[in-house]
Amino acid sequence: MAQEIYYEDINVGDAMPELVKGPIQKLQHVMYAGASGDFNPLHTDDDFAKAIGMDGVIAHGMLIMGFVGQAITSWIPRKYLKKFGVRFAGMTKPNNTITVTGKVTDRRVEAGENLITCEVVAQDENGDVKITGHFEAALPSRG
Amino acid sequence: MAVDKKFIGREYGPLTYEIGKEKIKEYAAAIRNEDPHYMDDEFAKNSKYGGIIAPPTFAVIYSGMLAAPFFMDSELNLDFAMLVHGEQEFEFYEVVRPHDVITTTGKIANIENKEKVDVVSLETYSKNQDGKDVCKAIFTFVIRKR
Repeated sequence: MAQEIYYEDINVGDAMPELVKGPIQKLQHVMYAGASGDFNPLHTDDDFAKAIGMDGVIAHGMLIMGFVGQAITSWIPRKYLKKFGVRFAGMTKPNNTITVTGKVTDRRVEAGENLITCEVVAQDENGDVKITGHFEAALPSRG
Repeated sequence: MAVDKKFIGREYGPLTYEIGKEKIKEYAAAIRNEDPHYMDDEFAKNSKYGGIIAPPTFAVIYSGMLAAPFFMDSELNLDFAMLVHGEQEFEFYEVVRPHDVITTTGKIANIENKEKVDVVSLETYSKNQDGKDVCKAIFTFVIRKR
């Protein structure tokens, strides 16, 4: 859970605290489908997934983005988060364990706001990349 | 068949969505995010927010409602079996809380016809009951050509 954090305490190159999620079970796909309203059977029905040429179900990309969001707001309070964007780079399968890492790539004062930009990545236990992304936050100053 | 670029600018919505506290908890539980800001009433009451708030990616639920009329727009002729969610971007403004009534409008921001894929971006704008901006989102879908 995010503690208060100040612009002066953040430097370019700082690492975001790592977050490990999983191993992901098919049950979690079902929970996410119900919670999000995304009932695409590709995420919950192995027969459907196989019929369209997959090995089986894959996780919702937005579930993995949710993990990345959890990593961010475990570090930076929600109200400071201004922008968050990702590219879905790979499919996540049942039993994958996802590790979210990130680092600060820029800090600057702009229009009176203390902004930091961070790059984030979500990878499985083999190092295969599922998400690459970035976020921007406006932090309070100790000043 | 390629998605026709003439549909750039086509508008969808407005659609409204009332934020439910138990829905936020259900969403956080599905992510297995135990952050008490999203699930613990007592903790949240004493937090700087004064109550439960929605996690940032909850935006996909209220803004993503606009994906339904977009997907069902038969004139676009989207090839669902070939469609994947390629990219997702959010810009956040006001924090979202239970009982907020969020109104979302949107438009097709871009269509690119590439050699092997079409790339279609749906841009959405969400405001709360006070008329304040809460989120701008860009959903980018990649549709492989058969």
